[in-house]
Amino acid sequence: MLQSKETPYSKVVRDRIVLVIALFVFCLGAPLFLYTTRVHRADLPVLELDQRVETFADSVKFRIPVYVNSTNEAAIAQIQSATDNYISTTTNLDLLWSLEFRPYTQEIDSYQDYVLSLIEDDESSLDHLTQSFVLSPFSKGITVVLPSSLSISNVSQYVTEVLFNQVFGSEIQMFSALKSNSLSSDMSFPYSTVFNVVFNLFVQDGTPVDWAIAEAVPLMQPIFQALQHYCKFKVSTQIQYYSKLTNEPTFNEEQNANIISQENLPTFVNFGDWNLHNHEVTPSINFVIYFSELNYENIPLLVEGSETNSFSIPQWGGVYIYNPALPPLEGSRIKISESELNKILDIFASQLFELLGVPSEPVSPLMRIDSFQRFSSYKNLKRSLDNLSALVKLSNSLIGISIPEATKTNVVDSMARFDEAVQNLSVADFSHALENSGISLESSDKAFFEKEMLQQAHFPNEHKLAIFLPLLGPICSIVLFGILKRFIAWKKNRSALSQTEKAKKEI
Amino acid sequence: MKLNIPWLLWAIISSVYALEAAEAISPEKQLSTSGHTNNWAVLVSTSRFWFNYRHMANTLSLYRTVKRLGVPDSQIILMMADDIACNPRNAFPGTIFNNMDQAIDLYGDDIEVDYRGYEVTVENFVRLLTDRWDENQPRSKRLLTDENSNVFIYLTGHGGNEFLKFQDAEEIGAYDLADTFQQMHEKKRYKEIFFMIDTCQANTMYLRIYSPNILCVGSSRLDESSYSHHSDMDVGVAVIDRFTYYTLEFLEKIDKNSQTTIDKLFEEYTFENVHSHPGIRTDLYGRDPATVRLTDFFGNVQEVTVRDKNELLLSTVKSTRMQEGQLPVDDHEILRIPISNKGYESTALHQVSKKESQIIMAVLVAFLGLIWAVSKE
Repeated sequence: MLQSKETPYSKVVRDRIVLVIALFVFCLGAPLFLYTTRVHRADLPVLELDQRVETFADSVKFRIPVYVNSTNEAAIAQIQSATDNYISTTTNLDLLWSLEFRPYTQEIDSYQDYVLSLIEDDESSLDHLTQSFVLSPFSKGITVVLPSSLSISNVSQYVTEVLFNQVFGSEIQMFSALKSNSLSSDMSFPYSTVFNVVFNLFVQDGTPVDWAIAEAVPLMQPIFQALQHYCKFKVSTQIQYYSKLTNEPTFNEEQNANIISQENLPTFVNFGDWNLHNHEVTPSINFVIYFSELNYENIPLLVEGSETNSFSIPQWGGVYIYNPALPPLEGSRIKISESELNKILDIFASQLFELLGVPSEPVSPLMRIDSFQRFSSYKNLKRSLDNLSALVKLSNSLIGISIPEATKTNVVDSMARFDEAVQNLSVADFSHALENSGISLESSDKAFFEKEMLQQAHFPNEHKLAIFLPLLGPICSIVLFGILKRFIAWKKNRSALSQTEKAKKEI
Repeated sequence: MKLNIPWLLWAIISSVYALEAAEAISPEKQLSTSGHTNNWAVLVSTSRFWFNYRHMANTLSLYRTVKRLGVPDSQIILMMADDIACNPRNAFPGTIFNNMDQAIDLYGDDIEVDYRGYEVTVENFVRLLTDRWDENQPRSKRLLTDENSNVFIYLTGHGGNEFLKFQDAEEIGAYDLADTFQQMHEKKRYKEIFFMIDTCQANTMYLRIYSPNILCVGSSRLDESSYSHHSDMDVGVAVIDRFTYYTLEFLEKIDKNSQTTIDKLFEEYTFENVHSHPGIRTDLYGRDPATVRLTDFFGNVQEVTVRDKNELLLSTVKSTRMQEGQLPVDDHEILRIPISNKGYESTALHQVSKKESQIIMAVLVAFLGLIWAVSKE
């Protein structure tokens, strides 16, 4: 066997070098590698969230105060028990939604709170029982006229009927649909804190048309004001010419008018050709006034089955087809006047309510908006918890996904707002509850959509090996084999040593 | 022989019922509605370079079709390298054709490419689907879907077993895609998805998807290639893939108000046409494709509401305000919980700071010194 010419000293040096490199790799390299490739996963407040999800039914409660203006003291208690009974027997809203009757005092304003006035009608005789009710078209006043001879239980029964069929009917329906998750297709705009409202005038040909929109827009201001707790509105306007129709309307000789049939309405707005873009970050509600070129020939363009000549497209906006009252004079420039726009904006206001999801009953806009606000807060609170639960579920199921601290911050923020909204609800401060629930929803969305929270942006676990093997493979294999070699040599050496020792002993 | 009368009666009745049942199953099935309120389309060509002309043409053809059927451009996300129309090799500058008859210039004058060139990356695609952007991302480049959206997703490029290559640089795996869809599902970002993919071994890409309400179609199964349809000798390269060609040929016959169902499209996908085995996956999808209109995905058919009464809301609310008098409008600033910026500075991958790099350098120098020291005689 060939003897190595290596001096014992160089052997020692090699041993040392291997040792130092191995120590370097394992003590410094490996921790550094793990440290720089780790995926940050913030500690989400899962327990706190679970607690809120569990107690959701107990904590989120709507107690709507109704002030009763009546000479009969006992009536309040009677009506209270009758309505409570009604809610628990005919709806699924037990605990969630109820009315709270309080005695009326002079300071109560029927524009702020519900006021139920019971008026006894002395004139009607027994055989001529007349019960009737009047809902204020403006305020939140409810007036019920009853014959004085009517027994108190009949009074409460009648009042309950009026309240639940006329005043809170649609609200209860929406609440119970949402509670049982049977809201099949919600056509309204998803919640946003800011909406852009865009008024468009689309003219079929190139003939200039004027409109007094600058004067007319302030007319919408009270509507925006009324919805201020729900969201803010940013208004913009534009005129577009040469806006061709996608489908030719059919001419009806009887009416001497062009008719847009019901089945062509969904494709009326020419998304491909009309310039409907805007570069806002917040969602836009579009309102279109369409001006047909046949207006100059006095042939109106009509929407089939619509008296107001308008229709709305869910989650997009509303359309009104403009036909002038009088045929325009030859060569004169058409101007849509402020009074005409007033009428059109009236339609757009109704469409705005519809697009946002404001119930159509009862008449008084204050009552409708009130119902809408309560319903929206409930929806927002529910959704924000849904979002957060989805986030937690996702973070558990996708191990490779990173959870940055910003997500945690937003989750905490969302839950804080949730608590605040619940607090607002407990004191029947519905407008602030709505605002807080909206921010809670927004924060939960932000938490979910956090930019850094992307599995693919980092190395997925399956890819890690493929990416790092070319880099670490050569180093690791050299180090590993070097150590192995030294280990084997050391073992050999030791056994040889022990054998010589044995031999020595034997000698 | 004794006739069994009840037995006979039963036989007669049952045969009558069978007849009725046969009538009930008519060839025309009742159409089902998805209940969606908006339509979106994500069209991606993952290839670059002149020889992949057909992938750009595939994508632009579908872009043209969904646009023609009424999906607004703001709801179409078009991702492609866009290096063909103005490629120096293009004998017809500024045009892209999907047929050798050169009848339709797909590039036209109204193309809105949302992600072009090197923006077509796996990261951007996943970000798009999960909507994970910073607040500066423009609205036109985001997929702003909700639980009422029907989304059509079309991918074309070069792929293999459970992966799809993005521009020779990276690839998306079937598992990544499946997880992305799951994230969309968790966040309720779609009502239904129609996922169409035209690559080699395309069917392997949808096998790992596990989220509900996704209808998947692929052009070829494992170990099969997808083929191009024909070449245009003047352009010099293949102009369209077979799978997409037959899809388009069928969709050209569809108009905005069409009631044609999606299974009719699937009938076009025969081996004779495509020269590979197209795959259709319906187990995740809740509805029978025979009852689903094509326009549920390729159009923008919305249920409009016609208004027939005027509520005079403007004047009512206005008079409300007037009667209300000058009530102090309750618009005080709402409290804000301060959010520290510290959280936003954290990043998932560790960014080595200058100080850290100095420390690492120092350690390395010390280490080299140590080796030198131990090996010195």
